[in-house]
Amino acid sequence: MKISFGLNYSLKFVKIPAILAICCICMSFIVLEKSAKKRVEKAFTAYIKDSVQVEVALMYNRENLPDRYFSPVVTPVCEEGICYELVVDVYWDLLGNFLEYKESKEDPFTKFDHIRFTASDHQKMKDILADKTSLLANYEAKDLVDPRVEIKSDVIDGVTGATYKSLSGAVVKGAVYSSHTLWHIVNGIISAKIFEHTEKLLNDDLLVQMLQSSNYNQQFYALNKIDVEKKEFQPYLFDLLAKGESYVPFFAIEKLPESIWSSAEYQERSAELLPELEFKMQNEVLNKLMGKAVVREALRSLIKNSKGLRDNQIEKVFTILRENRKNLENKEMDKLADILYSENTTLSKNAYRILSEIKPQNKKVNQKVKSYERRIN
Amino acid sequence: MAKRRDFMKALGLGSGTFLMSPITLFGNSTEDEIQKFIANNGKDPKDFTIDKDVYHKKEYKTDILIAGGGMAGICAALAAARNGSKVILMQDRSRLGGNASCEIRMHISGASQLKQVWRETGILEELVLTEAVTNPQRSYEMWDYVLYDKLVSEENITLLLDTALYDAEVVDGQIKKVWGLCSPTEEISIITADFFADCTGDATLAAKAGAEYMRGREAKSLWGESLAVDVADQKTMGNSLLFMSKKYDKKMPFTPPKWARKYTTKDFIHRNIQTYEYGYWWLELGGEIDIVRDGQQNRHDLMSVLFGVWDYIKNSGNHPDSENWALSWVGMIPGKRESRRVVGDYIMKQEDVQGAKLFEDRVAYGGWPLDDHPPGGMDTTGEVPYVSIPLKGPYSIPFKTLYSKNIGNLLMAGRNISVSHVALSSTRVMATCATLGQAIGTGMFYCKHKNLLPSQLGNDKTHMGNLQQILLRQDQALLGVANTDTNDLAKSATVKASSETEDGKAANILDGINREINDGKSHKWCGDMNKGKQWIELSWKKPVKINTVQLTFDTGLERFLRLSGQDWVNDQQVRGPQPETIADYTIEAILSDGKKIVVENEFNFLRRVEHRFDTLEVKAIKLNIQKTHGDPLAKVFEVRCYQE
Repeated sequence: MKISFGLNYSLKFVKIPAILAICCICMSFIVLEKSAKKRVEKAFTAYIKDSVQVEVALMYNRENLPDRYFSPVVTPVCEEGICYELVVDVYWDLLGNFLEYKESKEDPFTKFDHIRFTASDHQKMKDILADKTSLLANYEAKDLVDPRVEIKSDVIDGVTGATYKSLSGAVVKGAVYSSHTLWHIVNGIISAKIFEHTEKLLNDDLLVQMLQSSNYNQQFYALNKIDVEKKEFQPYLFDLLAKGESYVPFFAIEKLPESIWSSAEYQERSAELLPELEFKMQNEVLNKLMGKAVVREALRSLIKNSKGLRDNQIEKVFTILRENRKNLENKEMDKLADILYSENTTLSKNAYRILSEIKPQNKKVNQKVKSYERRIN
Repeated sequence: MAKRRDFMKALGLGSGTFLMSPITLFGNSTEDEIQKFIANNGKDPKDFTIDKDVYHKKEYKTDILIAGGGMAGICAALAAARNGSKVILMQDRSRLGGNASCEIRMHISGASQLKQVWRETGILEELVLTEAVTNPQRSYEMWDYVLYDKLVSEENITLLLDTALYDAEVVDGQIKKVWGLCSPTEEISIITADFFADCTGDATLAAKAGAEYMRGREAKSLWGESLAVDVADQKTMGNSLLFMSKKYDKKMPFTPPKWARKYTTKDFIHRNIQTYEYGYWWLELGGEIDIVRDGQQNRHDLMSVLFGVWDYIKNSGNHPDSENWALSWVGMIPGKRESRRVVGDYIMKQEDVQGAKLFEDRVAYGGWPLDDHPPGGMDTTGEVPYVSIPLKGPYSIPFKTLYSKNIGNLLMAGRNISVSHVALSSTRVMATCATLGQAIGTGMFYCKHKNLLPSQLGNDKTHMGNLQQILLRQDQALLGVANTDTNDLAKSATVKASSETEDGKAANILDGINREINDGKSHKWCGDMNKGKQWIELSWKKPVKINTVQLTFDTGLERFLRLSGQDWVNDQQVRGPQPETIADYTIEAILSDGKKIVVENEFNFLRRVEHRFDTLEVKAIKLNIQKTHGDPLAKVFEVRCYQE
């Protein structure tokens, strides 16, 4: 950011960097296309602060599907009669959520008194920009500053106020106006237009790409957009139980049609998947299998994976096993008998209980049961 | 019926004696003793007959009728009565406190949330300080009795419990009478009053009287509020139903009722379940229905939510450490956040709250964030349950929002004041509502005393200045109002003290500011108790006659203080006397012919204490500090002296 002086930023002055920006973006598209052979195309033009023109481009991935949006932004930031020029490349995801920014090498970000941003300032700024619910949405920049506290600059001819303590977490210290301006650029009209632009491009391939992305906003959006009755989407949806970001797995499991929990294929896959799931998702899967007719292969996986579970989950597993005892055969009985030797008494007691109830006609298993009984008595 | 009431009154029910010593009156008295008691009080046993009249009508005439015994109504009643007005407080429940009562159990929130110095003072402070000392067991029922005790201890207050307001008569734009119905006593009360206060929350009285009111959410375009919705609608924030639970020394299984809702992990992405002992404000529903008219259905739906959430906690497997926990109390009355808002001479908006505009007719303040709850509540668990915009500091609330613009003698305090939906998201919390109650209680007294209507008071700078000075003297939570009371003789005194600290000079007690206000100054005298007993003395060049001394102590207004079922809320507090407060002290009058102790007070825990004594001509008065509740400094914000 450069520091210049004067109150009146004429429209003409604003237009020059905008034209330069358009040239830059066109050049960068050409460069990008040549180097990585990824397609970049102009998405739309937007106007921020009523008059500052910005060009937004859509970048494609190697599979030629939309990947992210990009815009080189050049805008004035004015405070207390002092104006800066903010130069920054901003990136958004396909839904208009902030991804990252890159400052200009020639014109890096500075705070009050021309001090350059530190790495933690940049991280703080990125966190602020990524927060769509920031209070910056509903505060004027001037209302963030306490006029009672004046900080005089040693570098420029001016003073500034301190951010109110209770609001200071919402901005980068010493860069109130930059934080405010950039937040509104990132989360304002451009964000909304990106969303609209993507919606026009939507098709099954793009939805699958979003489901498979590592971006929870895109995963969440796509899982609410797909037709869950379409069988081709179900494997992707199921994959989200383990691979979904943040809270996505819990919505994904609710989106899966109830019928899949009665299918042998998904019963086996889910029982096998248990060790890869986090605690609450393990419970969700076990709750789904409770009360269902569960196939033998899935029961075998449940027995195998019960060792890594917590006590209350083990109780659930054995409830499922008891509900499906007729599907337990010698191989499963043998696995249960092995559990009798477990140091986890919840496991061994439950194994003993179910084996006592079933009374298997299997000599080897019965020997293990008798051995267990001798041990506990 | 009337005779039966006289009998009860003779036994002391009217004065609260019954509650203070029930064993003496009923448990230990024989029939003969009761007959003798009646005879001594001029009653004939044959007067004690069954009244066959059902829904007997009883007429009352009073200065002020207050409808609603929540925190706003209680503070309004106490303020008006203590200033000298005759008050009838009508409450539709057997218990006082509304959303804060043991029937609902929401903790009282307010400007403490700013985490600065802004806990509300005044009557609310007196109530919470009293409760913290007298209810160390954190019994919600005992909190209700603290409120009950304060009200029945005021001679000027007639308390009509279990009495629901159902009609009002309006003549020439003013309410003349209201009707209330008490089901347990089969009695209809007809009350004529000069001023009426709607502290019902729902603005029932205002609506019945034809006062103009607002409902739902205003559009952005109406007042330019960025937090408002794009298109106006009739939706509101929802109601919440709370529960409490206890941990036992064995497993406590739970089977939900068939009508309980079913929840899974995804429903709690935005709703934290961290503790089980009390919960949860987000058990919220009702914003998309008629929050008043559909209340019966809403209650049932909330119960199905509550039991559904408890089922999730107990049986989903996600909370294995809940296995020994069981519900110990389940609310039956949803706590309301929003319903009607009466239109006053001014409507407060988002900018007034965020910009912290200092209104000329300010009579209270708020400090809760702009905390709006989407109307869907537990029907829309994929959404965040609240959007909270923090404030830079407290904001003032003008008197013009506290009276109806078209019903001349109707005032309001609580969530039903003249605010936009967005502003309500901050003003709605109970500590703010309580201070609004004190404001209108005092305002109604003032209007009665000066023969004014509320709108005349609200639009007259001189009268408003007078009201602000009364409020300030009575410790109301006010912003930017200093003591300019010309009757305060302390202002012409010279002050000296046994010791003082750098930022706690003796002269601070006369600086006109009775609390910390976040301006870098302490505004209090601090005497070092490590140097022995401390004193501060006010002396006059010429002797003055005084009979009243008012003291304002430090009670740690930077901390939270409120009863809560939630342990972490409680953990941030000092339950008991606040350590900063001066406990034992005397006031000594220095006379021309010697000295006289006029006040001896032990175990004080209040912030504001007023002492009255026979008029004396004094050269000086000396406050001798013997003990604090633990603080090494003796702290006094203000001393006032009067001849009244």
